[in-house]
Amino acid sequence: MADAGFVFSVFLPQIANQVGWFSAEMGRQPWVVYGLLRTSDALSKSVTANQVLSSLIMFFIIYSILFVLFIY
Amino acid sequence: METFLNLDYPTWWFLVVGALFSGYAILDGFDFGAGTWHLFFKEQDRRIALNAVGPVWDGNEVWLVIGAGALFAGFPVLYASLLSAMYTPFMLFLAFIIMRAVSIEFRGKEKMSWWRKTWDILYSISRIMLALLLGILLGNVLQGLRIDADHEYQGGAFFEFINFYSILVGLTTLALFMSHGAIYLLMKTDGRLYERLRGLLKNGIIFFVVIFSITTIYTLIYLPHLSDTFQTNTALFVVPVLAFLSIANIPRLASKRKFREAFLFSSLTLSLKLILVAIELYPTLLISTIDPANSLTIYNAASSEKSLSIMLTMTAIGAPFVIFYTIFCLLYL
Repeated sequence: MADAGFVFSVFLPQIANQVGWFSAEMGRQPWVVYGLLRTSDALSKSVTANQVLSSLIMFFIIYSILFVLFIY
Repeated sequence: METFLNLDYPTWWFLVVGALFSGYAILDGFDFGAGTWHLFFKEQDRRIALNAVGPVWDGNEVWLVIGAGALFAGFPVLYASLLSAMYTPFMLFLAFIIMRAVSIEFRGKEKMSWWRKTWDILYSISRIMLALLLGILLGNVLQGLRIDADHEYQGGAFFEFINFYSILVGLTTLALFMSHGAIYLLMKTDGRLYERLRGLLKNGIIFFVVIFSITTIYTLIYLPHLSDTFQTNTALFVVPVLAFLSIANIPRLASKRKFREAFLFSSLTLSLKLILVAIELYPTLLISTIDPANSLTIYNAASSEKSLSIMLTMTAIGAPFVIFYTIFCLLYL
């Protein structure tokens, strides 16, 4: 059963992916295209914060459900 | 401005994007349509219906990615304005795209009947919603949006995309996809499911003719800007006439049980509908309801001439391959 521990190693590439993504995105700030376009200038004016928040919550719920189903 | 065969590059790219959207409507149209009937089938027939779209649905979806990519590459200003203005429906569209994909994959994983029933319902609802949302988006584009001089959308209410006309276009799209999907399933199945579908197709065609007539009359009365091209250039009337003949041909072929031919004609109907939309809009892409001067056209929304010429060359090389394997898969697999 020693191999069972390896099952949990599935989280390691996931963490590596996320952390890499965070450093790329956060490290580039305040630019969205380095040296060319600032994040504040790239922002869409007609999309409201509420719309973005709702879509984030919606995708969070969908992917949480899917995560449970994948594990199950 | 540089031209090729007397048409300038933005016009060529307009045709490319239009062709990609037609391809998407024809391909994903039949699997959305097939899914809308799903709950009308007996339990044992549902597996057969799923197997008919099983090998092709994810390939169909790729056309949406190419279409949106072509829109982004060729008309970045339109892409930015439209996707921001229609943020809520596009996000809902993505959510249902996820559900349609997982429902087809998860259904067979467990034997319990409640498990299968749940995924069947999700499968059917997600496809009905996807067809409706596509039509609702089209309805909003046809009607025009409140676009200001900076090409920013001046709206912001959450459910502004839902209005009488967009619902009407949504239902028309749904009805057209339903007939199209039923014909696809008829082409691919036999036995009890085949007999059941023949009855359902009749209802589908009646639903389509009724809702399409209402939408057409409403458009002619309340959205006159969509028919002025036809008044100035009467030769273009050949397109709606062809669309009408193509629709009329579908029940004729269906009664003769020639479903492969009927499928070609319902595909033709879908492209003729989109050609109508293209004629109504050209050279405008997105009408501003605040001031016509703010409207996005293929010229003020296009990327540079150099980008367009590179992309057109690539399309000319790549497109024949895609068209060839798509037709091959649909007719011989």
